[in-house]
Amino acid sequence: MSKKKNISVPETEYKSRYADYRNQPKDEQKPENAKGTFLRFVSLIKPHRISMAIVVICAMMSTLCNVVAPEFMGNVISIIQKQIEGRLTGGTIDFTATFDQLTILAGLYLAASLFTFLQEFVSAGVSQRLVCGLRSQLNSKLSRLPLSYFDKQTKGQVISKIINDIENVSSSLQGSILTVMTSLIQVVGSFVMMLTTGNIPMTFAAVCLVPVSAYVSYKVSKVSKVWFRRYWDTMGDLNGHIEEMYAGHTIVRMFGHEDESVREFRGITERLGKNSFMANMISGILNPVLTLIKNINYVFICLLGGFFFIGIHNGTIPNTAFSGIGDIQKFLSYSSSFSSPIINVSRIINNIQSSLASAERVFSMLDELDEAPDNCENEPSEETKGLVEFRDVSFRYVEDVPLIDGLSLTAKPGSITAIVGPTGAGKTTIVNLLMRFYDINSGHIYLDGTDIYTMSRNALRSNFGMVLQDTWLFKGTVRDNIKYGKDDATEEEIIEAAKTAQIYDYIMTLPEGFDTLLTEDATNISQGQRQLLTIARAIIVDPKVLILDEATSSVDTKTEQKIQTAMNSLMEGRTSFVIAHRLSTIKNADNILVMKKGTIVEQGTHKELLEADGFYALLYNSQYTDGIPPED
Amino acid sequence: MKKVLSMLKPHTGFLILSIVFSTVNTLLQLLIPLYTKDILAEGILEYNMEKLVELCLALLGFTLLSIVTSIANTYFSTKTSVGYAITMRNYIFDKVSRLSHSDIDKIGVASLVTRTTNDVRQVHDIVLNTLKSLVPIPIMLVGGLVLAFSLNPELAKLSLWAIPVLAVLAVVLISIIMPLYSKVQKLVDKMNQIMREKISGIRVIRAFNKSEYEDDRFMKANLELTGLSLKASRIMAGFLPILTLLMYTLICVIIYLCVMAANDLDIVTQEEEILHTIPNMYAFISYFTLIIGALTSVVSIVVSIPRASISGKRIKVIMDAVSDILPPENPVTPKKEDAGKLEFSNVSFKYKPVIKEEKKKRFVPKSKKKKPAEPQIPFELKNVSFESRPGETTAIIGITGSGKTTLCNLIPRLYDVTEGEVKLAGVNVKDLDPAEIGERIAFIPQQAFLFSGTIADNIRFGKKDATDAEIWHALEIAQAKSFVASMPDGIDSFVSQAGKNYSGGQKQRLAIARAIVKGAEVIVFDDSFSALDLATDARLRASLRENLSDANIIIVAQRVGTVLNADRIIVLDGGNVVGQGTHKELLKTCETYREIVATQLSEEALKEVDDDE
Repeated sequence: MSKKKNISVPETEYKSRYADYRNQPKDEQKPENAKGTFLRFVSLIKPHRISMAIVVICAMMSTLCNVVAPEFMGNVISIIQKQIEGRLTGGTIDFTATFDQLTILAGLYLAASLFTFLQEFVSAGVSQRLVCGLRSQLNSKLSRLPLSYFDKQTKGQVISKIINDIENVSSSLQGSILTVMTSLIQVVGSFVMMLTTGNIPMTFAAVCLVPVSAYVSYKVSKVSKVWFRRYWDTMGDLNGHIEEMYAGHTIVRMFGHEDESVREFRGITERLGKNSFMANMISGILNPVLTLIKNINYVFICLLGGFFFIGIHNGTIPNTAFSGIGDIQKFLSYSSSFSSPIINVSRIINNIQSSLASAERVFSMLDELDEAPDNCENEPSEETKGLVEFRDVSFRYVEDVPLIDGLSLTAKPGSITAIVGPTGAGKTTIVNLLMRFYDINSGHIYLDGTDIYTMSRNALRSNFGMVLQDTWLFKGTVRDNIKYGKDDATEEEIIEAAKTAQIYDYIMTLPEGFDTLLTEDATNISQGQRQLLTIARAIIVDPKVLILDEATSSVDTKTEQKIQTAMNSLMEGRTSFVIAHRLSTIKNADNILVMKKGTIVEQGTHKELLEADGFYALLYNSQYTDGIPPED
Repeated sequence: MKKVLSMLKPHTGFLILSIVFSTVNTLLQLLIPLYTKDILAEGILEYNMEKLVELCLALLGFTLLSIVTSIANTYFSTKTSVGYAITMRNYIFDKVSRLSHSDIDKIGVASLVTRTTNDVRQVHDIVLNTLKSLVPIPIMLVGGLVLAFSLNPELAKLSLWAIPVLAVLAVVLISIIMPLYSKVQKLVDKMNQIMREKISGIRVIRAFNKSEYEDDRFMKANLELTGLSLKASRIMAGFLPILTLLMYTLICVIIYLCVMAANDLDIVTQEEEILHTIPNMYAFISYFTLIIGALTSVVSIVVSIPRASISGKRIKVIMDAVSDILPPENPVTPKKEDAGKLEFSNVSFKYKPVIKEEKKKRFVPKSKKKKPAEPQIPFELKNVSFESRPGETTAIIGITGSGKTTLCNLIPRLYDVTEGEVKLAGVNVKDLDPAEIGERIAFIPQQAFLFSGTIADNIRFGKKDATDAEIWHALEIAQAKSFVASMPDGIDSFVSQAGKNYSGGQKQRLAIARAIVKGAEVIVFDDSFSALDLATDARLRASLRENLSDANIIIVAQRVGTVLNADRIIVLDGGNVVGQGTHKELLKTCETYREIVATQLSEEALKEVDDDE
């Protein structure tokens, strides 16, 4: 393979089978609206404008010190050279002149360091506060976003925005803006300083190769960026494969697919290796190449400087604007202080782009529409009775795909309403609408005769106790998890709730009892036990309306019955909604809603429905007879 | 760490070449100041234009050489590091692939993934950086000092003070910043965790009106992290200016000392030295700059060690993991006539105690007053015996924690029994080649797991060369045909990671189809019907019996309806077999079974059975 081919990037990107859930979309490097994003970022800095002003002033001052310093360094050298020439002709060295210049120089360096320190110190504060603020903004945004947002995004994507993108924005974007600014000062300053020497040929020698290095570093970082991009893409594939194979480990083993999985893994690591090699190699070449160009420039200056120096000595060149060896030193310094910022900027242009892209992603999340604001005109009375009514409710998750259409139902205070039906019939959706996780498209939902859209979500939800199929627990003690819904729960209440939920005996067998620490996702206890804990958590809140969404699906039937007994006494005087696919558990419900494709096809008591001999009867009978109902 | 480093072995060749080139490159870099010195001394100050051109060209040649070696070094060190990462990843993946079910449980899938990806990258970065600078830094330090001394021993002695000052500075910085960085790392992890919980528990949080509480929790972590990061970055902010200031002070001092020295030299005998004051000064300054640069890179490497060493430790846990389920040395080939038989004789099982290190992590008491007592590990299964033959259906029923899933897991040897024997096709599973077990058993775990790809890819997981017709047939038996057929792409429809784009019931049916297509002798359904509605469940069972008449079917279930017609129902309670027989037999003999039935079937159903007798 020729070198050229190596560096060029193949047209066809490898199409990844993991692309669909990869955290970072392919086009993440390029911001869509760079200017708008940048301006918005600047507006974020506004509250810190005093600090930022200090940072900018310090940066300017330290750059100026650094720009002026070579002038004095050159003077020192020139003075020393003169004195040495004098010494060689028999004189003595006058220290005061050297010392004076050196003192000024040292002062300049001290000032530069001080300003740099101040700048870094203050800007660290600004950037950390900026990050902190952005993080908390995004975090509180999470609390305000409608649930539908989370259906569209993976957990990884959201977390990546809050952690990686913000880090990226703060560290590089802020740093980059400052770099670009000081670079500009340095470039202009050095150039002006060179011109003030009045030596145009030397100035030319000092800057002539700078465009070359700038071009080279821009190009190289651009190409290496592409390879890094491909490296990260492959890394995504690697992650995907590993995640799948580890999660499906049992299946892989049981079906004897270890060899294939390892082979595929090797293929990915090989590709990863190639991309990683190219990315690192190309970016690794940049520095030596730049050094080479810099040395060529150095030689130019030495040659030209030498030419002047010798020419003046021999009298072939009139002594204009050249004060000896110190000037060579000056131009060497200015050459590097002129070129290094240009090279730096051309190198970080790509970084700025990717930071802007990160910023854009963060902003776009902040711009997502919030949940509709709360309407607080009606707060429910202290004593909620628990009358729940749906009147002609329609709802769709996706435009044009109606999920629930014209649904009406009434649940009397203290009654048990069971919702049954095949998967996808919209059972859970009813709960989501009642809890206002989603907002309905038309119709009304009433709690005790009050439209739930006229009260705040918090007020509404405080009437409900909910147990979901998804057994979410957080990292913390068993106790903390149980009293999650009631901070001031007493030890007795906690124990009572645990007993009611049939989990007390189990907790007592744990080495630390109620103080046992659950791991993240509570993987150290079984699914059934997790479910019981969530039930205890709902019990302790003592809600007006209970919602049990397949709450006992992971619990065996015997335990389920125990819970049922506990629930029955708990449900006394409370309105309850029970979603279950085990029909035997809902026989004593006051009203059974049979749902199919978003509408209620039948409703009534167990007995009535069986007598009606409709869909419910079909579902019910299928569970313990050989009768095979037709596919729907 | 030794073990992690041993992965470098296959790349020794590249590593040595990289070290060779980096050594040459460092030496060349050390010589460059001597050339610049000569350019000044012998070219410019001697007013010798020819010599100047000659020396300049030589310098260019020299840089070119140094650049070539530098590129060669980059090439070989990148080769080494990339190869190293590949070796490490492949090793870990192979290892994990061969680990048993219980080993994976111990570490956790999420953690394993991070270990294979992130942790490897951390370790690889630090190893690479260390290797890259391991050679140049000492050469730079020693060479720089030697050359500085050879140029001007007096001056070198006077400038030496800078090195201890710098070293102390570095040590102080490292000792402050290292613990800070480890703390920052921990806080970042904590914040990630809070966020993950917040997103996955969003419904519960909103239902319990706990958004504010969660925000507070996050803010607390956020502020703590910000405070620490600020501290760390401010300390780093101080370090760099101090370093440059130190360097420039040193330069000023050197210049002054040089002038003093020139004044003290004898004009007659040391004329040349006086003349060369400036060139010598240049070279001298260059060397001290190199030395300081070398020391600075030591600091930056050391600072990155804490993160990498955590990663290294995490990788080592995997490398050290010894699978507790080992394949037999002399696998036994089962007799043909025993095919499809499954026998449990006096099987007891309990989990082995978890590794100490892992346990600490899992059960850390909030109040660190008392250490957790070593819990007595109870038996999950006790004295289970039964036999199931081809064409029979054996069902296992019992409450949560009664040991049903454990029993299932013992069949394909996901765990080893503590006592007794599990015999497949007449041979103890411990004596069977794992591939043989895999071939004879189709296993459908509780949580249906699908791989990304197409439906066909997933079904073919069971049988590589399955034809489309076979796939459709399996889907039909598994009651998945109608929903697959209704999708525009049919069996080529896309399945996202873990089958997220299918409902629980659909996933279970696809997983069942995958097992059916395999045509195994023994099919184990570990509660694989739980997400199906009753009608589908019933149809599925009927079609299984009809289509797989020769298979030995083991079904774990919670619904009585699912097990009703089995040839044999085993009732488990607390790991004990409390009843074994047909539905009718058990109704008479087994109290536990009657209780389970009573909770699920109507009184009439019970009566009907009684009347039958």
